[in-house]
Amino acid sequence: MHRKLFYLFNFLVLGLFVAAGVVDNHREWKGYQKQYKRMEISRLEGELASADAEQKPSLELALKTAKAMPIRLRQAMSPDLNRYDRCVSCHLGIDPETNPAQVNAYAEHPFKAGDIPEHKAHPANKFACTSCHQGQGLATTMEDAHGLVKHWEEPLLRDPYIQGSCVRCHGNFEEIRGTEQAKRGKALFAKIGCIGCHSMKGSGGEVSVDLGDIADKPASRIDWSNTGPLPPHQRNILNWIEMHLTKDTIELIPGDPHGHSCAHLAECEPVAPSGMPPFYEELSYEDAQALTTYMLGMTDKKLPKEFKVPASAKPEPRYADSIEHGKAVFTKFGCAGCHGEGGASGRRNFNALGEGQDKTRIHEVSEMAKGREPTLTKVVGTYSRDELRKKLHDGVAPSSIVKFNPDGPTPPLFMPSWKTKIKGQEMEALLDYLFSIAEKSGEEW
Amino acid sequence: MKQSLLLLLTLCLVGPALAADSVGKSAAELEKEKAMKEPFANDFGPETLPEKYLKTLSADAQKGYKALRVKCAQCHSAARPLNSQFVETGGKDKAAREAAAAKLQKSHPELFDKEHKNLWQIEGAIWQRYVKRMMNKPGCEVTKEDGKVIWKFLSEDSRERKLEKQKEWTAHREKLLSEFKKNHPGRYKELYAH
Repeated sequence: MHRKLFYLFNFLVLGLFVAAGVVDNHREWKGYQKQYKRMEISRLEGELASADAEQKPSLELALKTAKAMPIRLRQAMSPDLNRYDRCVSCHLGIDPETNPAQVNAYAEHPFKAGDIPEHKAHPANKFACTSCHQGQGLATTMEDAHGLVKHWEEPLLRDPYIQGSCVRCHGNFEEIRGTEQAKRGKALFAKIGCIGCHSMKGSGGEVSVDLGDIADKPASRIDWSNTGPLPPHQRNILNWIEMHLTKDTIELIPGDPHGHSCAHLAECEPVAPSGMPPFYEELSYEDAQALTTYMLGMTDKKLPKEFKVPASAKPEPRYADSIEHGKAVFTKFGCAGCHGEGGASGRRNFNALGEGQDKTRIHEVSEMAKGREPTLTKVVGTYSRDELRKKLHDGVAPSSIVKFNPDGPTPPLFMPSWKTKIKGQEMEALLDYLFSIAEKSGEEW
Repeated sequence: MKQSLLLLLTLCLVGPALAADSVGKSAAELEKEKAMKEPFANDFGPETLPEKYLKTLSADAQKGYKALRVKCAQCHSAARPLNSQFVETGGKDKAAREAAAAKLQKSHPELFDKEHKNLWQIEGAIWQRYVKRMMNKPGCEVTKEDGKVIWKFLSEDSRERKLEKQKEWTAHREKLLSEFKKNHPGRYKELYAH
């Protein structure tokens, strides 16, 4: 009996060994390496058949090397950046060891390797792969390596988002090729006035969160309960930023405008939804992608200094007149974030008084959402220069904004005091610009 | 039976009141609430002007006064503009009014003195600006026609009741300010202690 059991277990162990060997032999990356090896041998044999005497020795050597190519895990390493990436185990076309030229004519993914200047400028043995492309460098399956798995927050960046990686290191990214979407994102960031509410490492508005390290925000600090059917592997900062620009933020971050959570608390106020204006109404999807791309470069992660490229010194801007200067000040401080481009359209301010609100429906979110910030073109002409300067100096506190629903939340947007930020010539130029955009009627009244 | 009737009567009386309360306050009422919480010295002066004085004003200005008493008073007390330090000089258009203000500054520099800013704030288009600013507030029911006559009233009133009677006006404002300082020291400091 014992002898039979002994044989049975021996066979089982043998079976496990065989199964392990079969599984190991069929690993995803091994299949790619074998395929690449076959393609290389076939290509070199073809070239050898038509080669002249002078070319033959080198092609024979290359063929011999290809035939001897071991099937094994390969890594691109950057100890300085703490990156050890096995991407080249599948992407052999860009593995500097397998294909030193890092260029080939194969059309098949994952082998194709075009003549990409960015790859030459960022050699794999210095930068590895994930420092720019993101993904999970130590993984050995496509799904894991591309970061398409739960809890991996830095998925492979595809175009255009990969341009965000240029922004991370290149202070002068606007001057380098291949960063068109990041540049567009930066321009949009200024144009729609993000900086009016968000600060960036100390400079900018104080109405909302600092975006200086937004790309580092962990998914665990984000409430995903209102993002709709988003698979767990897509819960990352890229999608979170992009959703702020492609969805209504009231749905994304609804707050507690009716104060439901206050039922059992002695001191508790209703909470307004996100104050971020509905930019999805005015931005195209490409705009949203460009802004997301630019913001993916906003990180506080420390890099060795030799990997950082400082921004180029720019000449002091010259303006044709004070109005043009004032327009630049308007953009610099993000006034458009609340008052719209050129001050022509006040943006949403939840539960502030606005036009066309139905007072019989004060508790409805849709009515509270009709609250608006002032449209500057309509109101600035009703101020004297001194009055407007004082308004900019003092700001408007949240408590001074009249609520549409008195029992509802305090409107999330308010005018901060600009006293310490906009001063001297900048303030006077801004005033000139504001008065220049004021609606003018030819009549006395 | 009696108790049931009493209950029914109570419900009839209280019910509509409760229902009305559940309907929100208008934008103007909300503005007025805010105005009452943040008073100015002007708010504690008279809310009306004597009939005898009003009859001396132009027909448009009289219409403006009536509109002010109804429309402006929806968002703040009628006393606020009637007792204001704002003074608009006269003239056929804005340029002429501003020229008149400049002329007045030369002849009566004391009225433009920074120390007297709480008593006199003289400009060529101050009421024109302010009426338009108020009209831009959400929920303001002042129409363009109303606005025009309200402005005409405030402009004419600036000259007739303020510039023509400088001593009386200065005394009136000083009294308002001193009482305001006594009764609302914090708000006085915020608004008038420059």
